[in-house]
Amino acid sequence: MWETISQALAATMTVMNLVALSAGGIMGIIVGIIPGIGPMVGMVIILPFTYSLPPNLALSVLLGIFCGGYFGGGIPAILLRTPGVPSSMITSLDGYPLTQQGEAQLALSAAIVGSFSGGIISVILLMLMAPALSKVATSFSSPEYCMIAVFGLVVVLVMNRKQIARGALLTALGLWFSTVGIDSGTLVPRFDFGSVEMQNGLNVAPMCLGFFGIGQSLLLLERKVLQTESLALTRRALDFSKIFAVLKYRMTLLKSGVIGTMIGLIPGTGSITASFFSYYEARRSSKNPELFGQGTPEGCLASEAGNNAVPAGAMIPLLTLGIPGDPIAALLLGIFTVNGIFPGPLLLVKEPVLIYTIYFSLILINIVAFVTLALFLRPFATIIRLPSAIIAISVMVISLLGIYAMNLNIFEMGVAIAMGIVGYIFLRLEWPIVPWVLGFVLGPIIEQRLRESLSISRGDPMIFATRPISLSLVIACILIVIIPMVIDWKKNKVAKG
Amino acid sequence: MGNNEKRAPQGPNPDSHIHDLLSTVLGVFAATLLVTLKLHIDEPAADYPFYKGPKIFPILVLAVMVISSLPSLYRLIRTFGSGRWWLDGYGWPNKPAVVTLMLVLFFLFGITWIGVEASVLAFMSLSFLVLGYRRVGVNLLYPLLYTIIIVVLFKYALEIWFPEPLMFGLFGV
Repeated sequence: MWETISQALAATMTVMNLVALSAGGIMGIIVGIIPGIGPMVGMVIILPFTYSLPPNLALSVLLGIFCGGYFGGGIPAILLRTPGVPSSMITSLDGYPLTQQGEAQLALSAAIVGSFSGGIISVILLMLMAPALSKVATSFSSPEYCMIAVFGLVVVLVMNRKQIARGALLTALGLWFSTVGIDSGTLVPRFDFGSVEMQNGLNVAPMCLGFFGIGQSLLLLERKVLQTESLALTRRALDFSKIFAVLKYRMTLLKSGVIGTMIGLIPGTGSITASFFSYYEARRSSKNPELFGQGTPEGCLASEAGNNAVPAGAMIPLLTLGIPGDPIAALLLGIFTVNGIFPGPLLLVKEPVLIYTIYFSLILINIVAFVTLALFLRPFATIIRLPSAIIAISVMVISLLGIYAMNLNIFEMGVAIAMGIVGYIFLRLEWPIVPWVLGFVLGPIIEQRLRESLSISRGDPMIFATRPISLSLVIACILIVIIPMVIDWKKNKVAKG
Repeated sequence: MGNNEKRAPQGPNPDSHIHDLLSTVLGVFAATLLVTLKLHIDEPAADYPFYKGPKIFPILVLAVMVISSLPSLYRLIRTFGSGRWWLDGYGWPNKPAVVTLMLVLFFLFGITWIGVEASVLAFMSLSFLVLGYRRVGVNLLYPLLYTIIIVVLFKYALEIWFPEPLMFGLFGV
């Protein structure tokens, strides 16, 4: 155990790893600050470059962008009421009023301290929960894995229940995209439409890069996201006296970090939900709930602690079950599999040094992001002034060339452009796109486990109802569909009557 | 209502027929694939039972697509003449997005024909021109600097091979 920890510490503290996580963290802050870009786009841009790196370095870069993005996202939310990442919308509820009152430094201190604390609390919870969940998962077989993946998709659909038909349609579309290419079980080509290139299947990198990188850039060109010439910041660095002022909300920090982690580990829920629940719990338990929405640092702190706890929370199902809970975790899964590492219950036994390196890197990323923003707040905040068109065009060029660099394949650039068009349409219509991504990523897992399960039972689907854990998951799937429907029905009845 | 107010950004109209039309198109696409499945998935060489075969999963997901699109198809047929086609306040189709998309396609072919350096430079300069920029700094200097960074990063730092431009062959270079 101690030997593993010392080896992991040594791997974490290598110059290359420190450079990787610092570069990732700084890039994350930059993409988080730019409204309309965010950590997902930042990660897909960098993804092709990370395929040639050792897994610990690749994960340090990507996790750096993931966490750094949430650190950065709060800045435009507080200064301009324009969230850099969607979850920072909740931060703007109190952050922007504080800026208007001349307390931008207090709001930013609360947000940055919140992000830092949420990140650290969630890593500690990840270290405690992952081994326990792994032990439970060792008793899992194909039916359980199949049902966990299905459960993830059902949760995502329920989260988008206002557009449930569209969500189901996009989930199935993502699942269908995952079937394109040669079927690994029977070696039969499927849906290749006569193209040899299509027989290789559709890789996650060009699909996600097109969908988010190009699709989001096209939307950015169209929407001309708010640009500003003025910034309500007079100091270059964060005012450290304000940091001490917000530390009195210790319980809010702790609760928000725990809420964010728990929400992060539920597939498909995402950082907006984490911010939302953390904020409302902070308001519910606050001594001054009437100040929420008027400008209280406690609101900024709760929201940011909640959303920055999500990355480590999302790592729990990924590391222990091999099932990504959100699109960003899906990209991380790609890094593992490219390096011949298959996340699951045995990962903690087979690759303990890598796992502990990830834990320590996550802690360091949070420290790097905190220190960077605390010392260079204003230089980073001025990024908001960059014109969106310049950002969008630059993102498109580097995205497409990054895709080419992965396999030296121009066809995959074409796939990325085609997915960019599809992504633009769905983003423009504001359809729920998370189900599409999760469908595409979970498709191969569900298909393989479904066929294995049916092979065990010789074609009898009742296998899912005869094993206790898979039956529990079937019941859980049914309940999470029915309970919100009943709640909505009751609400409608009360509203009408 | 003034012209500026009309152009003010407004979110998508959830009741627009555009949503139902897209759902229906996707549903019809899935139904077509289901009907013509034999053309898209060959029979495996070995005699697999259906539950182990390559068709079971695609049939399931395509069926879900068809079923999910049925409410939209119903709404589209029932209210087709009501004229609810307005989507949002950003125009349809939007010029910057469409023109940039066309330029991206030229960029893709440009890599093969004129090389990555000329392609990146031309794509960025033309895109900024189309997007309304008329400054040397943005239209020329920034694309030039970005191209240099791209070439140094991809060609020299990462040692990525790019195809020889076909134009060179045409002119015997």
